[in-house]
Amino acid sequence: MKHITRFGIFMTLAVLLTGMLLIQGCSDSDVAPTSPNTDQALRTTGALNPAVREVMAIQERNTTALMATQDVIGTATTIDENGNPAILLLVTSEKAMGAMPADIDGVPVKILLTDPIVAMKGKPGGGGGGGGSVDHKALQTPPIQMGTSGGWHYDLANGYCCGGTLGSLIQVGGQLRILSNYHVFEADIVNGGNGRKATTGDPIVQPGLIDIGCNAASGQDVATLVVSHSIPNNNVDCSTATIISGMVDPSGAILEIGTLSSQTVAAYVGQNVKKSGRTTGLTRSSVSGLNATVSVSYEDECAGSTAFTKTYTGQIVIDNKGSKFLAGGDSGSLMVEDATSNPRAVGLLFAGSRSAAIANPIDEVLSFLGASMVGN
Amino acid sequence: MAHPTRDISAVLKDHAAGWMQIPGVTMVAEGQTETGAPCLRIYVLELTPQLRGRLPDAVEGYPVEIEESGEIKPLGAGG
Repeated sequence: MKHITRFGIFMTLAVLLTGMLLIQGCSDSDVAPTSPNTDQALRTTGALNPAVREVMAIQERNTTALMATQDVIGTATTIDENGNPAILLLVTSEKAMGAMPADIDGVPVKILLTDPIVAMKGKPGGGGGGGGSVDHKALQTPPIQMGTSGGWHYDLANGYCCGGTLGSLIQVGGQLRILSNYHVFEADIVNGGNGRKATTGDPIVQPGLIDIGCNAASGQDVATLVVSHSIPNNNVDCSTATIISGMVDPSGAILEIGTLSSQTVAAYVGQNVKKSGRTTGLTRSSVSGLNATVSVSYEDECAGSTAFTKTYTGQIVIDNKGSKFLAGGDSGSLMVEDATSNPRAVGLLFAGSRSAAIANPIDEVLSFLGASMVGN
Repeated sequence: MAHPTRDISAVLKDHAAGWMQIPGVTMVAEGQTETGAPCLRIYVLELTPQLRGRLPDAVEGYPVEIEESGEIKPLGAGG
């Protein structure tokens, strides 16, 4: 009985994935390629295309056997880099990746390493998490994990309060510090609406003021700010805060991601990535562009006036259609490769729009700070 | 379309500043077409016929894709 239920779930998953992938191909609004290959035809005809139907049949014939392989959790029909129909296998371990065939009955195989797929619970009350069960806006019991709401303790001005994400833990000269953005920790550079500027030694509060009714007394101080003035004169939007002993998990664990590798990895187009942030929680996407030049405007305090516009070069662009990967309040999140355990850091997320998210390459951030990632 | 003779990063570097000066352009980057070929990508606030007319279809053998991004801004939260 257990086996039948399990198989039923897998078959459902396979069918759903097939539909999702083909629908995604049909609805993609990017500029159509001019290449004469069959890719566009396959995408526009989807499951009605005879070639796709043939691959779906092969996929279905082999699904039972594939599912019996350890750490294989799904199969689907997809389109490969050459525009030809292919079989997609979802696996949860690198060992399983290595054990998969290059083709099945002559059909090329694509392999996607993913986390286990679980039933989605409803959103927690008032919480972020992208529909997951972890509340990224909640007051945590110390020592806290990263990927959570936080910000400058005094980030209240002009009738508003502000915040972002305490993204990850780094090491600077033997000191453990929280890594976030300049505009989350230290963007208040005028006395303006609150009579103060962000200064080294100021407390960093968790959750951020925006999630505790703008009342810092309802949160907890977890670190002290180290002003770094990364912008406007440098190419990274970063800031750090030294952790207060006992308040932050020294392993650097991030909500819904866990501990990291101490190593980093460079971005590449098509790379699958994920992040854990205050607003949208754990989300996944892929790198769509590299070496980007982009101008971003910053305010001089919470709800303040424009302070300057910074033009960045060499940035990472991530697909963010519908702001599903990154939204307001997620700034400061660390972007990592979409690996199951101890993923490597890729970038520091800091800006975006309804269709694109932007990250500083993590090596440039760490180099600026003289830092390394905390991880295994 | 001519075959590329220079690295795409060098081509982008030579054109990025000029494109960023065009009103409505928000970002430029290297990307890939759906078929996996390298391309130049220009992101715009809103794609109007006037703006489209100012942007190329290809440069030095690389296709240029245009994408509407809307406004790009820091993603802190305020409320």
